[in-house]
Amino acid sequence: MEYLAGNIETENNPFELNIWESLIDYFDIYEGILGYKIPSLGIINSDVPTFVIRSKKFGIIIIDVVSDKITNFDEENEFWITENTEEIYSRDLAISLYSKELESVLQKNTKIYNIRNGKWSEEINISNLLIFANNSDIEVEQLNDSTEDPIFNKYITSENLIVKLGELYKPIDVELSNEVIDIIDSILDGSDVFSKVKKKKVSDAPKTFNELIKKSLDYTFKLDKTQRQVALQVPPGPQRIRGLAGTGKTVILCMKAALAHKALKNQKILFVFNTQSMYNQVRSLITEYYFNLAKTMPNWNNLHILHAWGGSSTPGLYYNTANAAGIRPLNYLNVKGHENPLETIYANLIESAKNNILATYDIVLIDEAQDFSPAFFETIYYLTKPIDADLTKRRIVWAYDEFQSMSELKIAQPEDLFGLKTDGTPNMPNTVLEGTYKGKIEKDFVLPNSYRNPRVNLMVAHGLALGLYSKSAKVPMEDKRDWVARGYKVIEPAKQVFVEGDHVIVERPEENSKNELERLLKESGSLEKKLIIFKKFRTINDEINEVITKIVWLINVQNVEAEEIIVINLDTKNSKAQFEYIRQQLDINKIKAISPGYIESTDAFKEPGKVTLSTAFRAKGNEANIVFIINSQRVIADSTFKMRNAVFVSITRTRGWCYIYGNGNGIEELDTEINNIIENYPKFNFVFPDEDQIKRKLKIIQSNKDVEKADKEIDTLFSDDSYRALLLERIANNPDFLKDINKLKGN
Amino acid sequence: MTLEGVFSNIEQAESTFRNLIVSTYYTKKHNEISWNNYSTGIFKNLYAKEYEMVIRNKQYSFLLKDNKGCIQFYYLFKDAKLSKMKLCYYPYPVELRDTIEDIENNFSDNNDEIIGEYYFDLYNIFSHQFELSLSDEKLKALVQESRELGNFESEESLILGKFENKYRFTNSSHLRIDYDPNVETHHKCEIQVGAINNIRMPVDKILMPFTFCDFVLKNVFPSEYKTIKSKQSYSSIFNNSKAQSVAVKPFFEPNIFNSHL
Repeated sequence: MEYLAGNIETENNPFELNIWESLIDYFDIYEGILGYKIPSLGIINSDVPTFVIRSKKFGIIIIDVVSDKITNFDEENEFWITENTEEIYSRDLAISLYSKELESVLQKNTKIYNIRNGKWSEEINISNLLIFANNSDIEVEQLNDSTEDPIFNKYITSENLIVKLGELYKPIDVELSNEVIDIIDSILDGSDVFSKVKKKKVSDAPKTFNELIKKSLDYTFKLDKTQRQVALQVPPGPQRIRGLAGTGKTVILCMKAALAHKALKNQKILFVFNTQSMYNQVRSLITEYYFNLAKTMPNWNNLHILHAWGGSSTPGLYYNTANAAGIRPLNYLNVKGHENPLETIYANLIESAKNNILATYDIVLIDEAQDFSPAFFETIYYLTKPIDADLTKRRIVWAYDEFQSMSELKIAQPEDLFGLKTDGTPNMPNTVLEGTYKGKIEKDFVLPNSYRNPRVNLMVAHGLALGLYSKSAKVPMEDKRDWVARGYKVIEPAKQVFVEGDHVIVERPEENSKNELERLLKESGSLEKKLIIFKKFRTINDEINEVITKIVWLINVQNVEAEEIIVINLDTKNSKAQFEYIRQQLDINKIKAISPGYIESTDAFKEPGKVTLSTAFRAKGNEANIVFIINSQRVIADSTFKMRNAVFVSITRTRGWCYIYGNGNGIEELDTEINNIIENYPKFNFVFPDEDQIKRKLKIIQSNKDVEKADKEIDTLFSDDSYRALLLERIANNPDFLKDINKLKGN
Repeated sequence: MTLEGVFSNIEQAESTFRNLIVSTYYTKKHNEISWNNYSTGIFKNLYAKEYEMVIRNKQYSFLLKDNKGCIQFYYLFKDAKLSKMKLCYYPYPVELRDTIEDIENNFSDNNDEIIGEYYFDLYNIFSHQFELSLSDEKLKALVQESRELGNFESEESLILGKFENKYRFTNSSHLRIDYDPNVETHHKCEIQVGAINNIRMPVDKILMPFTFCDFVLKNVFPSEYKTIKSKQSYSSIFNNSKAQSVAVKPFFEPNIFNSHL
């Protein structure tokens, strides 16, 4: 059984919690899902039955726990009088109404119910049960005797619960099919609203690139098991969600926001993110899901969707918070030239007004957490109300995109993020993420399944970024958990932390890759490895001309839509001229292209009918079915590792094919690296390098300083005789430095 | 002058100067030669912004390479007669004196651009005007340094000095030729420099697109132009286009009057 604890911990009703445990005891061995107050079907929260079980063996079981001690029924048995002389709506009627509603929702789906003859495609058994938690068997009998309309649903009391459950629910032999179960699940968790609507008829046997792409976009959205677990729960404290791009983090946070808003409608909820263009997506995801739950629109006064900055024309978290704290918000031009403007403004806010930040929100959901600095998280800490006397119990949920860049190989821990108390201890110790919430949901939750990138692309991207098969750029992750968080299974060695000389074998299991194109290719008997196309050229001109020829072929022969193609140039210095040439040549072939940041504005991407030419940095956050990477040889001779990061970003832009092109110096080495990755696919197989080497490289990678500039300056030092002599002189007189060099030579 | 004639004249310009053109967006509708998404009402008070909006919204027939700006051809016909013409050249608004490498490097790390940089420098000039604190760290250091050396230049002249030092020259306007048969108070065909509102210079002929394009490119790409000009087919296209220019009914102008030779 799978458990969706929802808000059960927040509601904290001891009777419900008790029965929840008993239900787990009884049903745990069976396949199915047990949810708390899910789905709500647009019914007010107090009238949603406590538990709904969906199981192949039992059908659907609706259980309502009557927590109040009932002392009387009214004349028509429409209202029940409780011990506190309160009148509550008859739970007997409430559960029946809910049951009818659920049945009619299911019957609207033509795949499981035939509306013409009124028959289920497979019989779905829906049964109701009332459990009196505070009345004895005898008391309920007496209540029934007192009225002409006794309780008509099945009911029991919590006395000998497990025994009674065993009598009531015996597994049957006939099981519902997976197909029906999938549909029921997506209706019950509400995620059926996200299904892509079939607009055009798609070819059954796709042949061209275009047909494959179109077919891959036509599927039923369904949360997988891990996604559902985390999406349908609003935890009573902090939670971190980790996963690669395309693992569904945004959808999950949006569902949490909608569920929290439905269940706790008077509480203030904040959804905050960094990428401007996400606003509309987030708003519509939340609205769709909320509407499906509540049948009304969200109350935007209590549910704030904010960009992290904002300004006089658009509200944003920084702008609102600074104003509320009584300081004049800084604008972009005030902090232009700083390494990280967003960090600077939040640091300024913390420094000048941290005591004036009002605890405004009950629940805060942070998407793209990897983009935010500690000062931001500290601000969030002060903005969020603790739920009880334990000050760490703040409902802050942050979704962390693993591996957006190599400088974030190590994920920042709560201690480093949320600031310090006056006594110097952390506001949020790392222990806040240890353990689980109800329903066995980890506080530090990992989403292993990637939907965006095909497995082979992801592995080439990871393999190159970490330099696993490189001569001198090997920087693998040392912690097993970091591999797992990125969807790998560690086969060898059997330790938590790897050390020098360990022979490491990790595998990316097929089940963690849910890319549709990959699946379709395999179905049509093609090798998914073909999604990576590496090609080397003698000169840059040969390379660029091949890009042009290929694009013309893709568009004219394979019927690919131009906007599905992105060309990324790793040689930023020559991008302008090279893009100009590609653009001109495509134009001659009647194919239009845009070059964001060079000619069009930086946020112009994937304009209909136009190929996009971009740098890796600008391409961040965008995806396309076909990506060309040019000047890939730049990855090799780059001691700053920036190019390894850029190639990672570039490869992970694609849902489908990735053409990796390069020329000249370094291309042979890159060829070898990629070959090694493909040969070992779907495994990585390497020897863990020595600690010093990794440390040194990480220092460069994670530096905020302008390492590229320094790199160039060092080139100058090597190239001039007098500088060179000076350099040697300085090194000769610096014992520490000499020691380091000798150590290097020893390796 | 006919719609078809004008259109094929643009096609000739495209093929002749193809090497200098990055993107083309000219179109032909039933009575109009224009470009995709033709829109009017572009912001005109600050040239860099005007240029940016023209480019961002793809308001051009030809986009030239090497940041040399763009050209617009607009011809409207009514009852087979020309009822409006606009030929326009938009030069790139700024040119950096130093190698642009520094800024290019920024491309990989932020959303900066040459024009963005230019705005930032303008912002500093304005900030000074309004006595706001400057946010350019390099400039602050410059002021400091100058003081220490005993050079008590005003802050303003240092800011302007830095600006002059950085940008070779600043194009502050587009250039256009308009034809409107309905005007009575001035000549029907005139050259106008966008930066100057009330003075337009009369021209004696309505030009074909190729001829205007040729005129612009000759000045903007002098060395490439020489090569193109030396090609065999060039002179016949050039002469043919020139021959299609149409004389405009004279208007009394006793002072300056441009003539298309």
